Amino acid sequence: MIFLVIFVFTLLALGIWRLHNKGSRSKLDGPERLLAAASRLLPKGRRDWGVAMLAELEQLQNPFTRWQFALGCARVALFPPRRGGSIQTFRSHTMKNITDNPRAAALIGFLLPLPLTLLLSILWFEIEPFQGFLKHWFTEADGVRMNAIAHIVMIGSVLLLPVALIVNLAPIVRNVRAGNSVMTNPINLLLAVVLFAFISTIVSVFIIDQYPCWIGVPNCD
Amino acid sequence: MKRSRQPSEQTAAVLIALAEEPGAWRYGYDLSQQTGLKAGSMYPILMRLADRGLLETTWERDVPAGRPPRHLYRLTGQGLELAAELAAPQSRAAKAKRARLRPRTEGA
Repeated sequence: MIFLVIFVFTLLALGIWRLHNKGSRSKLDGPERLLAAASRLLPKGRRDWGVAMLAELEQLQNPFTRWQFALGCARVALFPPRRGGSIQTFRSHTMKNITDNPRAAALIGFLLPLPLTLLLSILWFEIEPFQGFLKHWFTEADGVRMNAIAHIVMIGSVLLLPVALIVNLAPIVRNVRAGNSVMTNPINLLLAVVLFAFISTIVSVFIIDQYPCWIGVPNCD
Repeated sequence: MKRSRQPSEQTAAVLIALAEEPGAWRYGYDLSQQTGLKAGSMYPILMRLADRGLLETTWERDVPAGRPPRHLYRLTGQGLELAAELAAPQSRAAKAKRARLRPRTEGA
C-alpha cells in the first residue's frame, strides 16, 4: 500500500514538474535534465560542483556516455561527500565507525535483537514456564494475536540478523580467498554459525507457520 | 582518537594521474577516462581532495560562446607530495601486499 502511495505521489510530482518546466523543456535532453534536477539538491557549499558536472556533460556527445555520466553525477549530487570525510547522507560518523569495524557491526546486529528474539522464540515454541508474562508482552488482549512489539521484534530480527551475518562473514571470506584457513577468525566463525542458526530458525518458523495458508487451508490466519 | 589512513586505490589513481603533468589543468571527464573511474566515483574523490587542500580548482577562461566554462583541476604542493609518496616503491610494496591479501582484485 505504502509503495502505491509513493508511486502515485512520484507520478504527480513528475507531472507538476513537467508542467512547471514546459517552456524550458525543449532545450535540455534527458541526462541534462536529470543532472540539473539532482544538482539543485546539492548543499550550498557544493553547488559549484553541480555546475562543473553539467559543464562536463555538455562536452559529451554519445547518448550512452551522456546517460552514464549523468547518472553517476546525479548519484554524487544526491549523496555528496561530507566535508571532512565520509559520505554526507547515510555514512554519518556512527555508520562510518560501524562499517569500518565489521566485528562491531556484527556484534551490535546480533546483540540488539537477541534478548527479544529469544523471548519471542520461547513464545513461539510454547515453553511453558515463561508463557504467562510473555503472552502479556507480545500478544493482544486475546492472548493469541501478536501485538506491535512482537511485530517490531520480528521485523528487527529479520532485518538485522542477515545484515550482521553478511558483515560478519566478510573477513572470513576474505581470509579464505587469500588462502588462509577458515579458522583464522574463530570468533567470527562462531558468531556466523550462531547467526546462521538463528536466521534459519526464524525463517523455518515463518514457513511452518504460514505453510497452511500458502496451500490454501480455509480460514487460515 | 583519529586514525591516519592511506588513501583508497581510486584516490591514489587520481592523485597519480594528476601528478603526471603537475602544472597542467585537467578536466573531470578527462581524468575519468585516464583512471577508468566512473563519474560517480571520480567527483567525490575530487571534492574530498579539494576539501583537504590537495587539489586546486579553477574555471576555464576564454570559453567559446554557447558553451559553459568547465571546471579544471590540478594538485597543490601538498597534493603533489602525497602523490609522490604514493608512487614511491614502499607504497607500491604495500599495495602489492594488499593485493595479495585480496585476490578478488587480481585480473580485474
